[in-house]
Amino acid sequence: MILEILHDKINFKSKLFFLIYLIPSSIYSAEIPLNTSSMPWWMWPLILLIVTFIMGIIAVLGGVGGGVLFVPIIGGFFPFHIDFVRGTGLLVALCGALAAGPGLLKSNLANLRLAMPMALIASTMAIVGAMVGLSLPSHLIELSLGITILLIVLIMLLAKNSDIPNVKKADSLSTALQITGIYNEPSLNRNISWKIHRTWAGLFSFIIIGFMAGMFGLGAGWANVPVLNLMMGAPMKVSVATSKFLLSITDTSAAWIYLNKGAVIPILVVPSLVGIMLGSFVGVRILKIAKPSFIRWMVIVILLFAGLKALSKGLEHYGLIFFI
Amino acid sequence: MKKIKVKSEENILYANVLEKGMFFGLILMVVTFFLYIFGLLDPVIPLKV
Repeated sequence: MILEILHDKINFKSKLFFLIYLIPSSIYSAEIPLNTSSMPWWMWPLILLIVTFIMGIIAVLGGVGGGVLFVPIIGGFFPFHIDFVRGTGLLVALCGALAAGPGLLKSNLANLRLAMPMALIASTMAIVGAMVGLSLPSHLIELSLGITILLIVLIMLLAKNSDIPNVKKADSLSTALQITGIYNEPSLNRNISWKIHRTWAGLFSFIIIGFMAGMFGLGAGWANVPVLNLMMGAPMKVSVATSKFLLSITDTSAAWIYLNKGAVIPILVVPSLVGIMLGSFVGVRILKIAKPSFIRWMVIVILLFAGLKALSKGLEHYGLIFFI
Repeated sequence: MKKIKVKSEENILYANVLEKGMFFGLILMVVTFFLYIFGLLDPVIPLKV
């Protein structure tokens, strides 16, 4: 019905775009933008491929996942509906985690016993987050996404990670679950045995992390690492690796919700995944020669811009424009 | 004190299953994407209206 009415009114030069905005369900019908772009339909996937390729390089160099860069940048500067961007963002984060997961587990850096209790809570909450996120109007999502991204920038600026935290005594829960491990540290040329504490506090944190991951389609590695490292006392390398592996479970459950609601479109997802993956391969090679501090600042600045953009898009609904 | 194994068997088992599933999914994604793009099967969501 809506399709027919709009078809009469609008000259659709790019039919694909119409689909991109309209497909998920009638709940988005109030927000259909009128697209009169003269570009052929395959241009956007091609641009997406190039942008995600660059993003993949920066993500590896900056030590962040693809999702946290993808959602605010593509959501802020591309004309796609935020629901599709979030659905794709989840799959981008998921893809990176799945590609890295087996290697990290085999090298004993990612720990299954540490990941599983967190994954159970985070993935359950990611389902809730995805459902809440898809039922909220998009300006509220953009507004809260903007605030979240700006908070991530703050975390990145302030968090001081500890390579091997000093855990005096493992708590009773982590002992009961046998969350402990040993890994080889080449820089010290010895095996390091680790244990964790504050397990309950960590589990509670993953309630919030899981919810946000599902709601915004972010990988949430930015939150996993500080919780595992600073709060629970897992060594830095184990935290990073376990966090990456954890995403493969957390994001899967949320991704089903987005798939089920029709917010995952192959024409957006596949170029993005291919771009991020190719970019990551190149990024790993550049990593050997790049200066980490410069890249870290670059990621912070990019996220700052993307966060402000998302915030301003959310505020546009209330008639406030402060950022173009 | 209980001896801790450096290589955890459950980690390796899970990693192997995950790896096979990941490659299977990747191949499936590429194949189905080309089926979709080249219109070899009728998609639920049409590429162009």
